[in-house]
Amino acid sequence: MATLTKSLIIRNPRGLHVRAATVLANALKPFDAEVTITLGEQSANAKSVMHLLLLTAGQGAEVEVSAVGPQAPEAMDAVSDVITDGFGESG
Amino acid sequence: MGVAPGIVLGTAARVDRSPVPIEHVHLPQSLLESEVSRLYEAVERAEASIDQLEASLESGGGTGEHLGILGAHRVMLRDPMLLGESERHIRQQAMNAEWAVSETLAHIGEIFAHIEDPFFRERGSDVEHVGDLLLRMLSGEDGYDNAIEDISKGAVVVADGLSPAEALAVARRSVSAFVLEHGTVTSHTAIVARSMNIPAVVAVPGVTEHIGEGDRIIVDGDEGEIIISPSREEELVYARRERRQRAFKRALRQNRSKPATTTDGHEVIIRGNLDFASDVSRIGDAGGQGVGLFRTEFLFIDRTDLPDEEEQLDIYTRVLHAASPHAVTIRTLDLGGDKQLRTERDGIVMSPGLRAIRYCLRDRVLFDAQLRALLRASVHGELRLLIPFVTSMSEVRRVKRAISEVREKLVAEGHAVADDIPLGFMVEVPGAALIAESLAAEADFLSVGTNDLIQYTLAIARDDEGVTGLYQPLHPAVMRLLEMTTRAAHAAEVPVSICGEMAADPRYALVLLALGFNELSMTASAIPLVKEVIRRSSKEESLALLEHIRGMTHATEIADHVDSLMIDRFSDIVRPSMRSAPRSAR
Repeated sequence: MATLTKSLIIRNPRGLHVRAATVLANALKPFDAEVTITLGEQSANAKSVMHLLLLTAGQGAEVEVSAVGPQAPEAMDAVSDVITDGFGESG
Repeated sequence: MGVAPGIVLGTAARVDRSPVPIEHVHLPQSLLESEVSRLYEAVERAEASIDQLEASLESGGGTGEHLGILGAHRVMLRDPMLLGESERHIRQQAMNAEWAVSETLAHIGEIFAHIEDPFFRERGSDVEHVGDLLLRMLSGEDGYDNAIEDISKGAVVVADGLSPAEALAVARRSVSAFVLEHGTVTSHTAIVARSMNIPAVVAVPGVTEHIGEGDRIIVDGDEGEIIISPSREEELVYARRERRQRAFKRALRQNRSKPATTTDGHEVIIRGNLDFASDVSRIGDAGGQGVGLFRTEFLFIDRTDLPDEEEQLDIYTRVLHAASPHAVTIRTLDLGGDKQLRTERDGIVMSPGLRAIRYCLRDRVLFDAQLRALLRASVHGELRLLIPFVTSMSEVRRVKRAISEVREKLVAEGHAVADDIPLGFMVEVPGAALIAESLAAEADFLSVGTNDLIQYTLAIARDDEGVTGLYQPLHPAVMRLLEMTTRAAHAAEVPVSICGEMAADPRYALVLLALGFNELSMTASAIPLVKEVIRRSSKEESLALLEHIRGMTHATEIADHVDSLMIDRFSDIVRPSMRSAPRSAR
């Protein structure tokens, strides 16, 4: 199965903190896909808030997103939307 | 460390949540599947208890950040990292569910502890809280209410630590404050306290050892202090501060939209001082009627380039719009002293006395650009122009000429300029007060800057710590200069305002009312209490006070009299001042 990848920049001021990670994990829940977010040498399961927090991705961090599975394209769209929208936070 | 502001005097209620005892049992293969089911059932019950808490908070009108935290915790309960590893421990190592979960939590906790960024490291506490809830569910507890059902309304909650959910559950019972042995300013429990307006002090080592159930305790969330079993004097001091704070909140709530009118019908206009355009909304929020002093020098200093006409026009226009329909008094550039440009200006040699309007009349390029921006902004609201540090009538004449030159030029260029822009002069050196009659005859209003006036009258620099006790706003010499100024303004039938620190201190409100100031302008946070004092006073009693202190010759005697009268009359607002400390001088 093909793996989709994409590079995105975390734009919201507080980075990938609890609320942002929760928004991301929730957005991915419905999709049958494994989504991994990589920052530097660390990778995290994007459906795990705890794992995402461990990336300590602050504002301006450039992350690699990869998705694999039957609904990988839909999951990838969802990740892109959430991250480019700054997790729905203003500023 | 104070993490949520406010002062409370109350009775301690201990919330002691003993850690859940963890049994370590190796299970036979046949039971592993049902053990995994037991884990997931506990997750479901944990989710239900969060739902229940959330519903009760929402029905109580709760909104905002704290509900988001509960949502995050609910998602974390299902976290693959937590459940996946726990499930693996059960299936592969035949651990019981409690053991499996606590092993997993210990592992995750260790990873969080090694994060360098403190903001993210702190989030490990959220993992702990979620894990603790799950373990309690596994051990058969049934929700958040068990440990807290005995807490009475208004109690000061004392605990080792509280999860945000526990803090919310406790807060719902209308407790008055939190004191925690652990915690940080960015912890979610602190956020809960702030968003629910409950004073909180955290990170107090040993506090759970020293405070017993039912102890009297003062919690000062502003200073981050607690006093256990306070003395009578300490209780009195804090009770006064607590009353003052309540008075402030009440004044803010009740008087925001009401004028500062005395009981005998005399109105004083209360405006706000503004340093940065972006703060303008704070004045209206506090109940101020427009801007009494916009200090434009902050646009010019602390930068290596200078703001051009267009940049200034944009800022002045924004402030005028934001303050509408109220007036905005904009003071022209007041350079000098600690406020200096970073750039060299051609042909101008700075010297200590070359400040404010003296400087501007020397640097006409800079001054004209500011006047052009101000005059062009005048069509966007109620602009009033204020000239600082005037000392002679020739300066008045030159300023007026400069303004009319700029106006003519702008009109010739096709710009719109308001027909009638009130022009005022600041009275901030004794010389200006002494020629107040001449100034008033040429002015649309006068404005007294008490900081400089007191400093130049008494030869006391405000930052000179050796002589701070000599900085006396009620010194008879200062009082006479103030009175000369208000009399001159009244005779010329122009309004007179005061925009120094003196206006912001409620203890001087009656004196300033009696002296005949039509307007007081102050920092936004001072507005509610000064307004409250005026609304509770009469002009008549203020005149009686003025008459009484006129007969006094000693500054300290006057200060003592005003102090004791104001404390007696407004015990919830005016605080006693220390004789040795600088008064409102900052």
